[in-house]
Amino acid sequence: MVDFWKLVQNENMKIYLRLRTWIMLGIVVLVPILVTVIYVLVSTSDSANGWDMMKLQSSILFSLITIFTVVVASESVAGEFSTGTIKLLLIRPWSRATILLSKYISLLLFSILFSAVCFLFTWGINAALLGAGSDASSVIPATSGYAGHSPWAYMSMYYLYQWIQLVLVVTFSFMISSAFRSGGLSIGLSIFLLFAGNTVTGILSATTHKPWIKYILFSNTDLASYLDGGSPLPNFHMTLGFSLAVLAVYFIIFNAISWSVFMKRDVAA
Amino acid sequence: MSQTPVARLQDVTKRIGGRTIIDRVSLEVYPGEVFGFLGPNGSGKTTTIRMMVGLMAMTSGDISIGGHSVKREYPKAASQVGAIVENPEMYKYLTGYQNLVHFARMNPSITRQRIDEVVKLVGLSGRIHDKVRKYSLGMRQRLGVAQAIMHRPKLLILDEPTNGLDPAGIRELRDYLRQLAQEEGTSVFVSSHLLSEMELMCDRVAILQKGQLIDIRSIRGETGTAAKEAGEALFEVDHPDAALGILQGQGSARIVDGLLQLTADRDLIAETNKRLVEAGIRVYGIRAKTKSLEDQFLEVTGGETVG
Repeated sequence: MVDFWKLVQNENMKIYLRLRTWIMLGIVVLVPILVTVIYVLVSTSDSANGWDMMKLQSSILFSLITIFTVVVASESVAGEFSTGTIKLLLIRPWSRATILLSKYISLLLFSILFSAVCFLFTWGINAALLGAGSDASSVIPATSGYAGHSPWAYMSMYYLYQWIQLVLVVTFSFMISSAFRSGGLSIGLSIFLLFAGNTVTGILSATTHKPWIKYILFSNTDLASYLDGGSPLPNFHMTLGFSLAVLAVYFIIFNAISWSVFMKRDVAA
Repeated sequence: MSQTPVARLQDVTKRIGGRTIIDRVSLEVYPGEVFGFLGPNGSGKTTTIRMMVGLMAMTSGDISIGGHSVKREYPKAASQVGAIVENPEMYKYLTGYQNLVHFARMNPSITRQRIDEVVKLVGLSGRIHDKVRKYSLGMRQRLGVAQAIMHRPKLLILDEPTNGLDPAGIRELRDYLRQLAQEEGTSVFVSSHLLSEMELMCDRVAILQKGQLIDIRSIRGETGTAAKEAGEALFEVDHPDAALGILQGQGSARIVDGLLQLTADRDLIAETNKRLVEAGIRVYGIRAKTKSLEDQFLEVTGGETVG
C-alpha cells in the first residue's frame, strides 16, 4: 500500500495551490501589523503593553482563522461533491475512511499553520513596536492560575484553548459538509455556532438554572475563561476537566457522523 | 471464451426507495476485449458503472474485478480499474499536470516518466502545464483518459466517452481504445447510447433496458458471415414498378421506399441484375441491406428511447 502521507500531500496541494489560501494568510499577517501601526500613530498614552495587544489581536484573529478553516473544510468535502471531482477521488485503491481522514488531517494542519503564523506575527509586531518585556502582569489576571508565570506560558495556553474551540467548530463544519454536501450550509451553520453560541447559552443561563445547560456544546467552548480563573457559565459549577470531557463527547459524535455518512452514501450526480 | 474474466457482475441489483433501478444484471468482461454497454438514456448504464467502481453500493449481487470483490476488498479491486464516470471533472484550479500528479500519488509506482508518457499519448504535451480551467471539453476528455490509464489498469471503464468530442476526437479515441485492447490486453468497458459508434468500437455489446440486461451479442462475428449467406438486397432502379413486373417469378421481390428489395445470395443478385438490364431497366445501384446495430437495438428495445 502506498504511503498514507501522499493522500495528505494531495489535500495540502489542493489547499495551498489556491490563491484564496494565500489571501487568507495575508489577512492574518496584515491585521496585526495594521492595527498596531495605527495604534502607535494615533495613541497618546504610552502605557500599552505588547502582550495586551497580542492577546486582543489574537482573540479577533482566532475567529477569523476559524472561519477560514471552516471555508476550507466545506470546500474539502462538499466542494468536491459539487464539482464532481469526488468521483475520481473515490475510485482509487483507498478506503473512503482513509480518504476522509486525509482531508481531516490536512484541515488540522491548516489550522495549526495559521495559528502559528498568527502567534508569530501578533507577537513580533507588538514586541517590536510596543515592547514586550517579561513582566506581563497586565495581560494575566490576578485570578488566573498562571498569575506570576511567564507571559509565554500564558499565551501558549491561551492559543491551545482557542485552538481546541476551533477544532470543535471545524469538526462540526466537516460533519455538515460530509453529511449534507452543502458548502454553504456548512459555512453558515459553523459561523452561527461560533458567534451565536455564546450568546444563546448566555441567555439560557441567565433565565434558567436547569443543569442540562452545562452539557450544551456552546457552554463549554470558551475554554479561555478557565485560563483567567473563571468558567464559561459563572452561574454553574463547571471545571476545565468537565468541559474537556463534554467537548470530547461532541468531538466523537461529530466525527462518527461524518465518517459513517461519508462511508455509506452513494455518490450520484 | 475460456479465459478468466477481468470483471464479473453477478445478479447485480440496485433498488432505491422501492424502485428497482438495476435488476439482476450478470455479465463478464474478458481480457483484451472492448465491451460495449448500450442502452437508452435512463436505462441504468451509469448506475451500473458507479457500482462497478464502488461509488454506489449494490442492494444485492456482487461485482468482482480481477477476482476481488468490490464489496469486500475494494482497494484491491479498485487498483485494477481506471475509469471516467460521466464527465471527466478535474480540479480546475490545478494544471493538467498537477491533476495527474494528484491521482498518480494515489496509486503505487507511477513514475514521473509514466506521467510524461501518458501525456504524450493523449496528445496534451503542449498544454499540460495550463490550468484545467482553460481547457476545452475535448482536452478535459483527454486528460480524463490520461488519469484513467496512467496506472495501466486491467479494466478501463468509460462512461459515454465520446460526449463532447468532435468527429476527429471520436475517431482518435476509438483507435486508441482498440490499440489498448490489442496491444496491452486491457479490457475496455464502454457505455454509450450512440449505436453506430459502439458498432465500430466494440467486440461485444450488452443491451440494457429499464435496468434489465436484454441481450449480449458479439458484433464482429455477425458482420463477418453476412456476405456469404442470403440477405436482403436493394436495387436502385429507374422504374421500380416495371422491374417488379419483370421479377414476378421471384416471390420475395417487393418495393420498399422506392427501392426494389428481395432476398438473395450473391449469385441470385448477379442473376437478377442481368435480367433487369436485359429488360431495359436502368440499374443505378445495388447494395446489401445489413442489419445495423441500430436496427437490432430498436428491435430488442421495442423502439423505446427512454426506459
